Amino acid sequence: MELSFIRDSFVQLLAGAPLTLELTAIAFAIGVVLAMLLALMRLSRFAVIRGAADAYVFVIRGTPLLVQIFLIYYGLGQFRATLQSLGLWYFFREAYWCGILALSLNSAAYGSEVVRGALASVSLREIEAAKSCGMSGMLLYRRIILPLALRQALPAYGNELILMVKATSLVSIITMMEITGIAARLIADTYRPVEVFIAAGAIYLLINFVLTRLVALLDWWLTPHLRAAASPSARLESSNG
Amino acid sequence: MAEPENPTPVVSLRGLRKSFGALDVLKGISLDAWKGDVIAILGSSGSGKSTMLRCINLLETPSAGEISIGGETVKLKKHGHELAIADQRQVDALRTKTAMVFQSFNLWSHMTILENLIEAPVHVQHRPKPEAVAEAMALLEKVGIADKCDAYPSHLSGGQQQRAAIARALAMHPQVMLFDEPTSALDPERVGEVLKVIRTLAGEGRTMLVVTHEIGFAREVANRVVFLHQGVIEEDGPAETVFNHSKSERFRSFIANTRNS
Repeated sequence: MELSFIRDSFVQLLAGAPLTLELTAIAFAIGVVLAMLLALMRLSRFAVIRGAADAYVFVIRGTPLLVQIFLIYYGLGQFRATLQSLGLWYFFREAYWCGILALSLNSAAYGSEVVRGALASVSLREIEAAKSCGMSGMLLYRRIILPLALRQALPAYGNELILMVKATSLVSIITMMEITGIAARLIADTYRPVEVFIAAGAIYLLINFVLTRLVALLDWWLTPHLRAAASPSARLESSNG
Repeated sequence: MAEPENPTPVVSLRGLRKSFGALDVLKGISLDAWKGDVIAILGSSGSGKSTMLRCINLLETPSAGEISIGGETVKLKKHGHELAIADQRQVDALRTKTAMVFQSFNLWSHMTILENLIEAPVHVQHRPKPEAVAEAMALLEKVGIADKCDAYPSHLSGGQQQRAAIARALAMHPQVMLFDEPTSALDPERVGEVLKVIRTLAGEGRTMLVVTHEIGFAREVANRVVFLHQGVIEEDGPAETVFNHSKSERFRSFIANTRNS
């Protein structure tokens, strides 16, 4: 163990941080949209739609992300001719897009559970009040249900973001040179895995530290109604029922 | 009963029935509420009074019968043995004319009191925001909680929340106000402040239907009393007459029991 080597590795691995963050951001964003779609499908009154979403979540959650990445990148490579005829080969030949696809599909399955729980937690009374004021359909979702569900989902979805940061390390296996990819190359060059992995772990820790703070800040900003009232007099009054 | 200047009732129910599965809650209700009517709807629990009120706002879809608001008949279609809403846009528009005040206030917890008040005027009725805000502030002043405009519902007492909910209902310029046991969820010492607001509104000649257990309040404020028993209207008449000369044995025993409890 050599401190200066850890420091040097740290600096070299930082070059992979932008790609790690990029993969996280894109896959997470797509994952959120898909998660919402899946959650709505699972609340559908049509059994076929519910069943399809349930099956998707069951399969994705029940299999390792690593296997999913392999299947998308190497597995689909075997259908090159078909994909070419469909014009999809440009997408599936890139490890970058395959990685993002696998990560988003995976995140969507877990995220849909969080979103579904959050939607179910929205108070029926508040929904009823909105209906009684003439809201329905998209307006009701946009103004009342989703804002309330978002506040409920945020802490749990913050976890999903952190899992995503760490999951990006798996796409190093399909040649992506993000933090872990660079670490693997560095180890192959130097045969010093301990120092390199300590440095890599430290970078992930740092990223996740910042992200958890940001999520907590967002949560704080969105939930003034869950904090004690601003003035002591108001607090006193509310405690009187 | 207020003398109808305009021959169109604000709310008109014809042969209204509502069943939940095998349970018949409303068994044919016909009722006209005229402009300026303050109708106290009384009845023991399970008599169907809340269900009737919720049907007027279409929070419950009737199983049979007809509902008209301001002369406009709600479009309903057959759906198996039940009825279903045929035109959601019509219902959305009619709902803003029949503002509901709930037993548990049902304010939107993620919005401030002011935001609660301007939500429907701005996003449902598409009124200009500055106008909605100015009016909302005036309404909060009226119900005595203007200083709480930036507070969240959870920071208010029950009485203050209910007053905010009443102001939210008023902000839509409804033709009729529907109160569903507005004081039942309140601490006894908070009931008075809410009744005071409702009393003021009654004095302004607003059309109101109030489901309540406050017999004294009904006696004092209502000009008309409707007494429901097992899903049918057992008594309907001017408050004075009904309270003092009711022919209904059930109504008299209901009043006697309520007073003793």
